[in-house]
Amino acid sequence: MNREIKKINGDKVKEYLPAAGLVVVILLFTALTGGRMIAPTNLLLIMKQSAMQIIACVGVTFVLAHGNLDFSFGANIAISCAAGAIVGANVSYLLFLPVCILTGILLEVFMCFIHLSCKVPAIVVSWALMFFDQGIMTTLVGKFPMKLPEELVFMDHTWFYIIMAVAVCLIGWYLLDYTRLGKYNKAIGSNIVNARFSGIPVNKFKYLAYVVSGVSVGICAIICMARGRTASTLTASGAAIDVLIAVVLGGMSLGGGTKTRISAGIIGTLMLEFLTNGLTMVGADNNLIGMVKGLIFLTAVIITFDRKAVQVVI
Amino acid sequence: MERKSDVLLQADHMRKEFGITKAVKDIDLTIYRGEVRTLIGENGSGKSTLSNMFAGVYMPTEGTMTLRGEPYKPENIIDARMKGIGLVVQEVGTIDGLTVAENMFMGREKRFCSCGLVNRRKMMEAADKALADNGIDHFHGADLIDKLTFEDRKLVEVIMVMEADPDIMIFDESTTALSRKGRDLIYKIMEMQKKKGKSIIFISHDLDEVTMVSDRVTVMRDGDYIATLEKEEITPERMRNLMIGRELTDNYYRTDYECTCGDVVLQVKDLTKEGMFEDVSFDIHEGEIVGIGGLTECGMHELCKAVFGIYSVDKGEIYHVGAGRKIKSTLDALESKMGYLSKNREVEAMMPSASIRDNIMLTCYDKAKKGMILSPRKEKEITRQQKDKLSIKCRDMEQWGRELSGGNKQKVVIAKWLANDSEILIMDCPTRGIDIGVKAAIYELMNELKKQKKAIIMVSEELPELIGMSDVIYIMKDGKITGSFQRNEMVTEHDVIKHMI
Repeated sequence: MNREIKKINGDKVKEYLPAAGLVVVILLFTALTGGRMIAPTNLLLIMKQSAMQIIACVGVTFVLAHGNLDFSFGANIAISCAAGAIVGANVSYLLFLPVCILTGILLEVFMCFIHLSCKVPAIVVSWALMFFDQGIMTTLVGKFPMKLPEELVFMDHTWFYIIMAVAVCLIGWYLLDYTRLGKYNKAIGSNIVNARFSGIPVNKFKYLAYVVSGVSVGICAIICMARGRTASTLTASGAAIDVLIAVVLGGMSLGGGTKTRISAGIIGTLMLEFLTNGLTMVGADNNLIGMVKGLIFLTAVIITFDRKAVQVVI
Repeated sequence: MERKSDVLLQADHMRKEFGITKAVKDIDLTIYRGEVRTLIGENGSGKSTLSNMFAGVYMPTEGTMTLRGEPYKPENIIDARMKGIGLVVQEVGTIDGLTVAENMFMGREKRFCSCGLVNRRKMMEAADKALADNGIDHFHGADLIDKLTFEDRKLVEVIMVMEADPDIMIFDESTTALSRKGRDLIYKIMEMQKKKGKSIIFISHDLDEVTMVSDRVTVMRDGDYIATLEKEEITPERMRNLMIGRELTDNYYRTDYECTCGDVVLQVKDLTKEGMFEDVSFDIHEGEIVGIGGLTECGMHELCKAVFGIYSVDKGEIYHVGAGRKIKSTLDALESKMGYLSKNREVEAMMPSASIRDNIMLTCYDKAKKGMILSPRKEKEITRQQKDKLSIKCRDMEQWGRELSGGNKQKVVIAKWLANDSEILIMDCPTRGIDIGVKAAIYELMNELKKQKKAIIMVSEELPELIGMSDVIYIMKDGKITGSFQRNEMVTEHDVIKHMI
């Protein structure tokens, strides 16, 4: 009986560790910065800077839920920015928003199509797409100006970003935990064979996960353009890795499954943002910040990795 | 009476728990030099778990072991083998993609090393010699192990374990899949080891074989030690009674001999899939239990998957009479209220790292719909209903599937399909690896379902189960149906086996 109690508590502790970590980071740096970090203007800044990555995390969470990784996420954002900018400049600024989102969906769904019909692992397709995107981006940037349509400059407002992020989180939470889209994707990630043998149309729901991811690509593209006013080959580069680090930090298992949560991306992103912000405030230089992030990430993985589900360390 | 110095392995208060499951409860065991000790017991009795602890596969939850008078605590299976206890497993214990010689000397390549390079030729020669010494001449050290039959691979594995010259060799149901020739070789090896003063721990379900080879038999049941029989006391009846512990009444399977089957619900017509089965046709009626039997490779397992729409077929069709549709995909099957319980329960029929609730709800989220949301409260209600109906033993519904015992895992899988009001259940080896108590519960359930006019297709590798439960039995061999039997008291195992081989 005692052994059981200890084990139950062990699992629960692991579940709340990321949130606890976030609280510790906030408290620690609030103390170190003499309260400057939680000044309202600074908090708003942190929210604004976290918004895009949180939205990215929500989208990627659905693909992660069924056990696939997506390294083309950032590159897809860049292409969506480019598509939106080009159409917005040459046709109508009204099309900027829908084109961004549609391009995002198209790219992600295309990736899923190759994965399922050619039976290539999704992670490999995502690398190929990433290189492909980079090639296209370089070509486009040379030929077309990539500017946010003037009429849409009003979007560059802190509250716009924060509201978008909150809305995406709420919708993402609803979809992941309270609809079949989420439940089936989690089931596929937990055991794809069982999902198939239980009558779930696996391919259809994988596509749907990529559609959600594509929508979030589009929204990230919009935010990217709104903040930066322009797009280049450097746009959103590294976004895919940043997202992965954030969700793992927030407690997500990279194999997906039923423990997948929207909160992972949110907690992880905020933890990193507060950390970066706090360290900068106390005067740490960039290298130190990088090292600290790396160490925390490693510690997080060591603690939260589900060893029982994996019997052999590869 | 054996002298203290003849004790090879002493195990005290051995215990092993997997979450809520107590596989081995509190067992003391003494193995003497030069004996063949057989462990017997029903599935779930703990005999494999106990020997796995000796062999370093599992760490004991509690307990101490002493080997040759020294404390013994193996870190893993290789460490155990080095220290003197070698295990030959039930499943495949050799590695694909390597040669026979490479498998045989796995972990001991140093013998053939000079200046850091392995002398392949020497290794092959040593392998060939080892094979010749054991009277094996139909394959050689240089052969790729993938090309060998399961039996030959098992023999390589045995030689591999012997190479480390262990004091105790454990054969965990290794003879189950072997032919006469293979078994004789194993018996010869066991005799040889005995003469050298080494011991064998033998696990087998074949009570005649056990009677023949054992010096002592230790009986286990439900994780407990029951008794040890000395040579003179070993008889199949004695062993059977101790294993089961109670009179196996006639009510284990069904007692009735009527066929109260209704209309046809599913028609399988000329089903053919190359390499698996050919021209299979039969009808399934309401309230009927259709039994399908045969040797493992006869195609019956694949047939199940095809009937449920998992495999596409080359010829023929599956027709659901009530819905008036052909079953071509799992979606069709699900919508026609069919259910499928795979033989490979853990890997194919459930999600081990998900809660019982998530497992059961997987097929019936429709029922938990409240507007645009899937209501957790409704999910809990539905899950609780199933848990009560099937008496699933668990801490609560959020407990993970993998922590349940084999029998309860199966109950969860059944619950998953019952929750969706399945009318036709395809059960592949429904009581495989389940202890007697839960087996009886599942048979009772099948009877209940039958009375409720559900249809069941039951594939089974256990003849008594097949004969005891089915309304009609189809026997398959090499992919074709070779015989069928209607339910009546006169059908014997002998009649049925004739069509299987």
